[in-house]
Amino acid sequence: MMKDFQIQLVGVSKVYHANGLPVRALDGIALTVNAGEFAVLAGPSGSGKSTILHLIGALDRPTEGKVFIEGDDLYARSREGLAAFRLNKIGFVFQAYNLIPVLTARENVEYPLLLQRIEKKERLRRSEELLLHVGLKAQMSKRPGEMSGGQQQRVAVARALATKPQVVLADEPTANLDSHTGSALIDLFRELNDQYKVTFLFASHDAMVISRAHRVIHLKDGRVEGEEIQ
Amino acid sequence: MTIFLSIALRNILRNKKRSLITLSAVTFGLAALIFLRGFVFGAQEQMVKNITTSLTSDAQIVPAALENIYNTNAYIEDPESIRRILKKDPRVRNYAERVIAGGIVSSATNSMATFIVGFHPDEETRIGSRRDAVRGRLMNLQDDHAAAIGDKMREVLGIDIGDKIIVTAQDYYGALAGEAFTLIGTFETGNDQIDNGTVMLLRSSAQRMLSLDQRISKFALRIEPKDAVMAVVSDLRTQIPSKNLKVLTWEELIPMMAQLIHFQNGMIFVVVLIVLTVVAAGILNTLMMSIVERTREFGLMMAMGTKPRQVILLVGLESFLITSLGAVCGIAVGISLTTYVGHVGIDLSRFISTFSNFLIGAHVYPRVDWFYLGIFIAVVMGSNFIVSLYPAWRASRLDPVEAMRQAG
Repeated sequence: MMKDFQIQLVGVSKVYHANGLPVRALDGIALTVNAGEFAVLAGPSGSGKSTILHLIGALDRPTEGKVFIEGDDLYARSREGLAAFRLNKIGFVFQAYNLIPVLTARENVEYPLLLQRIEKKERLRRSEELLLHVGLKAQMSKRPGEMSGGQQQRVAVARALATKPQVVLADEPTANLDSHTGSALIDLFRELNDQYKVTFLFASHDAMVISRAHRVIHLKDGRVEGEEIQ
Repeated sequence: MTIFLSIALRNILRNKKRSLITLSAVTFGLAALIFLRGFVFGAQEQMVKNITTSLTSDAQIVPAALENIYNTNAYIEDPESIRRILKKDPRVRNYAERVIAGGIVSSATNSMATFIVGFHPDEETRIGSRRDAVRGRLMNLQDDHAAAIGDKMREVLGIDIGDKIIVTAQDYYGALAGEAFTLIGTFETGNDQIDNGTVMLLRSSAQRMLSLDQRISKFALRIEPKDAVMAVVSDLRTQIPSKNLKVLTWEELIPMMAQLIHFQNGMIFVVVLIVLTVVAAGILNTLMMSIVERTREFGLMMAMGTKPRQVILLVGLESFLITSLGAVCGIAVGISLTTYVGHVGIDLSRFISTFSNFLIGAHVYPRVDWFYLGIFIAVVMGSNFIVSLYPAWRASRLDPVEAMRQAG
């Protein structure tokens, strides 16, 4: 993995409109995440955790400020350019509804590789290896509706890693899982972080997740309140 | 592309009931159009066949005054020069020479205005225009003082086979001429105007009565192959020197019938427009519902790096697949139905008095119109492609974050 994949948020603010009223989700965020980090954005609901992930993942646009990826202004890109960035640089794991329901586990993992036009042999090799890694080799032919929530999250992790992304962004990945499954998922993330040196950035208020991160960034009311290195 | 084809196909199978309803709409719409066109096409073919066999033949050479088939009393002065031209063209398989005049036919109790048609039985047989007699018998070359009339005219005149009729008309020189003829047969074309207003005589008898000498009123031509009619007409127009003679197709002789066919064809497109609007609205509704239901899914796909144009491709493929499948089923049902009904025929005898003037028989045999079939397929596919653009565009413009927030 590239060592210089640095994420920088400079003076980033995000204002949403809810029922016609402006809601300031982020307020002048300045934040740097370096390559290979295993960091968590911690804070109560509404503190801006998910919004930061969305902005780093090119899913949303800041109202003010800039997001720099490898020194380039991310939002200077076109819609197609942002889609290509998401495909090639980012792996997402969402809280729920992570998979395309009509595709099997293997096809879900293969999907971003198909978008990348990776040849079939390599697609099959990578998807099989990753599903084996997340302990789902036996479930490869199952569709999301035939799998448990934990299994679906693990397929999402395999898919997030399939394209060999620079950073995996995970939004409350354990929120819908029991404590045992959640802990096993974080173990898996740690292992992948060690093995592939992929940057992991979580949004979570789960104490278990926070306790196992290398770096915890505390957010409150859309601002960075402090950070700690563990 | 393959993955989008696979996802599109599975999405169609995902909601089988809705897909089936949409599929049925396309199938039913297209099948109905094919059958409707087949019915009209079959009726038109029958009408044209009846017109060209019993009335006009494929084309006619007439004096300018007889440009309209309902005109009378004009003659070709030098028919021999025309015969020489016609004999040279092998596409003119046969021709019949006819005398047409207007006159009055009288019985002992009644009289009425009539067309007088002088014909040669053998020539008419060769061009295929002779009909069976309803009463009595067909005329032959020995029936010099005999006549055949429409069976309806016989009823009006109150006569029967063997009775005398008096036919009077203005002769070539303007004098009143008349002769008595014996009724030997009656005919029925289904057309009121013909059956109620035509007296058939031997051509020689008509020429004698009207002092025409060898003059005739028209040449009725049988041309083969049928698609050469226009070319033959065009060639004859350049070869026939007289400015007073016209070479006309049946459409020019009976423009009302030709216009009726054009009107029917135009009406088909109005029906096409209505049916396809309903079908397209069904497709649009299905796609819009599908997109609303799958908003989160589209958001997820876009979050993973699916480009807007790939989302358009996916929605377009779903529309294309379901429309294509519906089109295949619609073509199969439409062709099967038209072919079957074309074999057994549709009995219109209950309505025959309504249609008889159009020279449509009691039974219509629908026939698949392949040209229109092609148009229907193109229009169905094209219109459904167009209606899929809006939902596809809407899906491609979804904001991934907002989309994934939608309740699933």
